[in-house]
Amino acid sequence: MTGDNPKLSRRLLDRIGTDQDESAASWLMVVSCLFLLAGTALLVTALFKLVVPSLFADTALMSFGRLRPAALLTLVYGFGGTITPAIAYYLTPRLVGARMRFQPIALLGGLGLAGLVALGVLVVLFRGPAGPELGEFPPLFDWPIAALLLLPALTVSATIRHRTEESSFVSLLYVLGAVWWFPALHITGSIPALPNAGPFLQTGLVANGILWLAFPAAALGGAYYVLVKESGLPLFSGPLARAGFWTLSGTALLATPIRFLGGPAPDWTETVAVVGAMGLIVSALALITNLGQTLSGAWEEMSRNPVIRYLVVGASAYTLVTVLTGLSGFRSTAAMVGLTTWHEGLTFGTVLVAVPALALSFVFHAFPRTTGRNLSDEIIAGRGLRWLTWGGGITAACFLLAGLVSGMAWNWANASGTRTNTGLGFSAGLSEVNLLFTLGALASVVALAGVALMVWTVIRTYISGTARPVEVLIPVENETDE
Amino acid sequence: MSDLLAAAAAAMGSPEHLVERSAQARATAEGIAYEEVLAAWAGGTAAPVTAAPPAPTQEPAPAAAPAATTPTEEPASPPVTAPPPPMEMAEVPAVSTVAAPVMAHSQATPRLEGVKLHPLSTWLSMAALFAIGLVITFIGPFNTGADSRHVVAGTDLSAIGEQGQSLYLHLGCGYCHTQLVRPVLADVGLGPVTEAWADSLEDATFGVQRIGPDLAHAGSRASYEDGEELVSVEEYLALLARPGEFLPEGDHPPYEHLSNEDLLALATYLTELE
Repeated sequence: MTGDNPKLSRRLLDRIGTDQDESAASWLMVVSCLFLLAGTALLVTALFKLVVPSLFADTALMSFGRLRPAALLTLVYGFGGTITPAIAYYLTPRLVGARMRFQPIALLGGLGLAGLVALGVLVVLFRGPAGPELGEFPPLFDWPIAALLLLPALTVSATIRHRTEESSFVSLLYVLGAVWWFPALHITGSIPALPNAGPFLQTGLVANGILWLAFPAAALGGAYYVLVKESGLPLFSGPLARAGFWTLSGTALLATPIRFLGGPAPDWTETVAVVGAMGLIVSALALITNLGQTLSGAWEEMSRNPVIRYLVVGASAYTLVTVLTGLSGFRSTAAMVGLTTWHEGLTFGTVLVAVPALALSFVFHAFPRTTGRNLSDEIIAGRGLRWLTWGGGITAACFLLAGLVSGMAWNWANASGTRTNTGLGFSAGLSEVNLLFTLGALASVVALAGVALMVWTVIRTYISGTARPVEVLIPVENETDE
Repeated sequence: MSDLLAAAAAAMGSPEHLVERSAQARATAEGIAYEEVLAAWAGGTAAPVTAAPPAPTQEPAPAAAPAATTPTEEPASPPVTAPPPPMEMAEVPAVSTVAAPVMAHSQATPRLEGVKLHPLSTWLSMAALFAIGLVITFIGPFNTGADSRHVVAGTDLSAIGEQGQSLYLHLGCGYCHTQLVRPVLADVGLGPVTEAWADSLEDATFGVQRIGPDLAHAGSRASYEDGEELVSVEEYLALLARPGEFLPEGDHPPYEHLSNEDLLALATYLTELE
């Protein structure tokens, strides 16, 4: 113990890289915003390529088959992989009453992950995807990314180990889950050369697991925290929030096969998937109920505080997407919308609207506090949210609707015997949804503009925001050095 | 001035640039001189504060108690204007009177109520749930080899066909085309149902969605030009390079940028998907 010797304690703390500086959280928030912008731009390009296939047809890297995985990798691994530790590094010390451990290593690890993901996305663009969905990074990248994803898990766990608080707010559960689920799912997806059904099952588990479990978890944890801090009201129900967390962690993976229902997986996995999909809904309902009940009687906060607006939009979008995901697990629904762009619409709803809105509500709350600035322009931030909501919402809705139309058309074609779903018959069906694809692509530009405004707000907060007192964190007297 | 700033920074245990900004903000907010704030933080007289908050309670408020009436501080954040907790210092001994920079927005917020934290059991519970999910959705189905429905059925590809399969993967064809026929009405007419783990599944060519038609049995499809014949390598070659000749404009991107060798490999692969 070094607690009775301040100089020695200081030296030891310096040596292990523990200080009050919150540069890791601050930097990772900025980096995640840049990834969000880049990923959305790639997604917009992919959607235009989908609508106009002859666009840049002489360049392989501009093909939909490369732009789409590059966009999702940028959003999920780039944005999600950096906002998750940013939220964790901000929340953990505040919730456990201990300084963040290994801050410099955490920052370097986060920036290293960002660099690796950026490089991996470039490789995917120039050389093509090397695996199934969300596993497209070249095999060479898989294990270094896994190691860097594990770093936040270890630093957060080490910080919790030095906690001075006996109790924990529900956000800590989500943070703890997020930092461990991300590497665990990535590692599961990186197991090489599985024979037979391996890659098929891996894709369902890993792609959906990351999208439903690891990617939104930190944002959900941040949402509960921001809700209480920004509204100044106590959380409506902690037990409900914790029930949402445990239901999510217990059922999300079980729901992962629903996209491929009817495929060659055993029938019993379908039954389990339907049950799991219902569980997904519980966590979303827990969030939206807590949000609604906590803000009950204080809805004027929405018009006054942009952070609350982001929270409400993000939570509503997350609930809608999750309920639709749950419904698409039913066998009859799956037979209609399976393998259509319905699931693409759900993915866009998650990565374009729900998680960005939740995550940005956190960034707009936390970034000023870590950098000693005031949020630069609440009007621009609010406008960014409006554009994101309308643009991203319409994009997602168009692909959901297109999926529904496609599924109905395929069924109708076979039931009536009027056409086949191959060759020219498929082309005839495609013409029925092309308008929706076009609308979706156009709306995605609005979403991109909204993201650009949000990112600009963050950057402007740093470069020209008014100075404000920084938040002083952990009293050292509470620290237990070992 | 810089000495005062350095002393304040040392007393706070925070970087000078942050202390400087914080002091300026505090001075503006309180209407006092910047130097006064620094002097106070460096160990002199405490800077005046505008409002004394209710004394924070360290014990969690009862769950049912309204937070407005029992304000408590968040575990790790200091209250607004209360004297700061002693900061860790190497050389500045007197800290008890230093008014720490505080957050402008850190009015007393409800305590973030929680339950007693058991990190190890929490982590173990999460790991157990993850493992259960893994077993049920991945390991279980993966080990159902005894089920005749899941016996591997080989799809023999020629050497050039395998080259085409690799191209199919690297071009991302699976983001528009599936190779997965399900026993549902929508898939009637697409050929035999994918009941066995076909070889194609090994390379994750089963795809994500159908923006284009399913290709599980692309080699058994009728010719685009002559419905009586099966589609040929030449026809697929032409379709890939100049899709506009076969399909309505805009239904498929042209792949003219591929070399003739690559186009041939891809077309051969498609015809071998029987």
